[in-house]
Amino acid sequence: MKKIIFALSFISIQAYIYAFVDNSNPTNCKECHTCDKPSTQALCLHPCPRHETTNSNKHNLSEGPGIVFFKDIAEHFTPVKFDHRAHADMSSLGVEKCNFCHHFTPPGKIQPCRDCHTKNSEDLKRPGLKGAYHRQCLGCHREWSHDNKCFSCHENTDKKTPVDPSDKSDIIANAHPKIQSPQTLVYKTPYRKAPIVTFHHGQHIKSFGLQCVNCHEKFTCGNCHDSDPNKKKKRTMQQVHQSCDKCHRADNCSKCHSLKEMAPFNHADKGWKLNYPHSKLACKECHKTPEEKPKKECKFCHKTEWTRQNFNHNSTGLKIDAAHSMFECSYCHSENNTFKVFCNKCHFDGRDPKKKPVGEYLTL
Amino acid sequence: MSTSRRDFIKILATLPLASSSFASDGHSEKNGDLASNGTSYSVLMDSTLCVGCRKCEWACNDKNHLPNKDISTFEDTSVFAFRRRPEVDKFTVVNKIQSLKEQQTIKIQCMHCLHPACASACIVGALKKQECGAVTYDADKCIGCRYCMVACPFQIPAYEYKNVLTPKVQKCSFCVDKLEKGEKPACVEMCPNEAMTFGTRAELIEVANSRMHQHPEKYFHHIYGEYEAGGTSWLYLSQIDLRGSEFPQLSSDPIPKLTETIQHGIFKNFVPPLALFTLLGVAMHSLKDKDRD
Repeated sequence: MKKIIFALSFISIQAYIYAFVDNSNPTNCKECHTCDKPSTQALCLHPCPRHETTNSNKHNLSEGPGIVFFKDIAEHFTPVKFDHRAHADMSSLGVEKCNFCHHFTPPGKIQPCRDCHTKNSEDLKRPGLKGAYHRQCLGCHREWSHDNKCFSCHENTDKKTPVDPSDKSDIIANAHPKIQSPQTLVYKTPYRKAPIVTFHHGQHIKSFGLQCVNCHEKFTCGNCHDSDPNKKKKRTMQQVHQSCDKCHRADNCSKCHSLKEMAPFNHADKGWKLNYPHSKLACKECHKTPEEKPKKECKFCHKTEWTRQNFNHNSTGLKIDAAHSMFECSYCHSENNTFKVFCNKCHFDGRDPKKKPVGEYLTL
Repeated sequence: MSTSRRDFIKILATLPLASSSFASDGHSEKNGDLASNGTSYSVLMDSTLCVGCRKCEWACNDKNHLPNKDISTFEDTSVFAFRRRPEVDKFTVVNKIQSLKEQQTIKIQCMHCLHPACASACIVGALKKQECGAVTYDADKCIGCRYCMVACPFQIPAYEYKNVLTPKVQKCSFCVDKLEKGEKPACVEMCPNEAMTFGTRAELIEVANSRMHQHPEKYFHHIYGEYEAGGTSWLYLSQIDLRGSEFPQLSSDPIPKLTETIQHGIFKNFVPPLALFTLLGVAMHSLKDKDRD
C-alpha cells in the first residue's frame, strides 16, 4: 500500500513540475537559418520571400493599368483613385523601378497588394491591407507635402453620395514629364573665404557616364517636389560634402570653392584637345589615378601593335585616300608622338597635313 | 510508520500551494500570469509609423460618445504645439515627440498596467484589471476619492470636476466591450497606417523584437512597457528612448509592490495581529495581577 502511495505521489510531483516547464512549440532553427550554429556575426538566413523581386522589372510600364481604384476598405472615406501610370513612370526614374512599390514579385503576373496583405490579417508581422496601402502612399506623400491630409487622396465628399468609380473626368493617367537635367549649378555656400561652388552637372554626367541614381541614391519624389521648401530636411555639412567626397578627395577646398563662377573643365587647357573617339571616354579610362598623366602615344594605352593592316583609320575620323592607305603608319606618324603628323618623308614642298588632308574627314 | 495515510495526503495537497506562493509573491500571482497566458490582450504602438492624423482621437470620441467634431477637423496639426494630456472628454491624445525636430507623433492613453497602481489604490475596488488586459472602471462603486489619480504613474485618470452631482473618473477602457466581442479597440481599427498592432502580449513583444532586429537604424532598442511599472498592456516602439522623455522613467517593479507587500505582510496568515494582541493580552494580564497585589 505504502509503495503505491509513494509511486502515486512521485508521479503527481513530476506532473506538477512538468506543468511549469513550457515546452510547447519548439522552434526549428532550420526554418530560418541555413547553417547549424548561427551567430550575430553570421546569421546565415534563408532569403526572405519578401524580397523576391526577380520578376517586376521584366514587365513593361505600358503593361500596367492607367488608373487603379482602391475600394476594398472604403469605410469612413471615399475610395481612392490612384494614377498608376504617373506613379509607375515616376518610380521608373529610380533604381528600384517597379520594385519600389511591388516589393514581392515572384515569376508570373505581378501580384496586387491584397494577395498578401489581407483585410483582416491574422499575421501580426504583416501589415493588413489598410496599413499596406497607407504606408506605401504616405511614405513619399508626407515627405513632400509635410501634412497628413486624408483628402489629398480620398475625395472630400459625403459618405451618402458615393463616388462613381467609372468617372475618370478628374484624373488623367499622365506620364511623368521628362526630367530636364541642369547643365551648371552655382551654389553660394557659407564658406567665407571662397563662397562660390560651381557644379558642372551636365559635364559630370557626360564625362563620367553617370546615371541619375549613381548620385541621387535615394531618389524619391521629395528630391524635386516639395510643397514647402523651408520645411525640407536640411542636409548636414557632412552630407553635402559626402556626395563630392565619394570621388574627389576632400583635402583641397579650392578645388571646388572659389570667389567666382568657374568655367567647365576643358581638356585642351591641359595641352591635348580631345577628339573622337577619345572625347567619349570617361576620365578614369585613361587616368587610372587622378595623378596619372598618360603619354601622348597610342601604345601607352593600346597594347595592340598596330600596323597598316589591323588599324581602321576611319575610326579617327579621317578616311585616308587610296594613294596614302598603302603606307605604313610610320610614314606619316612620328614614333614617339602619334599625334604628330608630317608629310616631309615624301613631299618636300613643306606642306601642312592640316591644310591639305590625305583623305576625307568623316562626321562621327 | 507513524505518519498515517491521511496525514501524508494532507502534506501532498499543501505542497503545490506552498511552492506556488514561493514562486510568486502575493499580487503578481494574479496578474503576472495574465501577461503570459496569452489571454491578456495588448497593443503595440509603433511611433515611427504614426503619421499624426489623429483619426484615433476621432474614433475614440465616436465610440465612447464623447463630444466629437467633424472628422476633417482632426487634420489640424496646430495642437502639436503643446504636449496634451488625456482628459475627461478625451481618452486619448496624439502628441508630437518634443525631443525630435521633425514632426513625429505618439499616441497617449491609459497604459493598462499589468499591476495597476490605480486599482491597488482604489479602496472600493472600482478599478479592476480584467483578464482580457483592460483596467476597467465601475462608476457605481466609485466614491470619488481620486486616489487613483494620485497613484497613476502616467497621470491618466481624469475627474469630472464640472459634473457636480455625479462626477466620474474617466479614462480609456481599452474598449473592453469590443474586446469581449472579439473586436479590436476603436483606435486600433481606425488607424490608417496600422501604427498600432493588436494581439496577445507575448506575440506583440516578439513582433516588436523582430522589428527592432530587422531595422536597427529605425528604432531605439527598447520596448517601453515591457518591464516598466511591472509591465503594461500597451507597448511602445520609437526612434528615441521614451524613458524620461515622453514617458516617465520607471523601475521594473510594479508600483503597488511596496505598499501591498507591507499591507499584506502585516496581515499575513493573521500571525502579526494575533502576536500583537497576545502581547497586549499578556501585558494587560500582568498589569492586572500587579493591581491585585
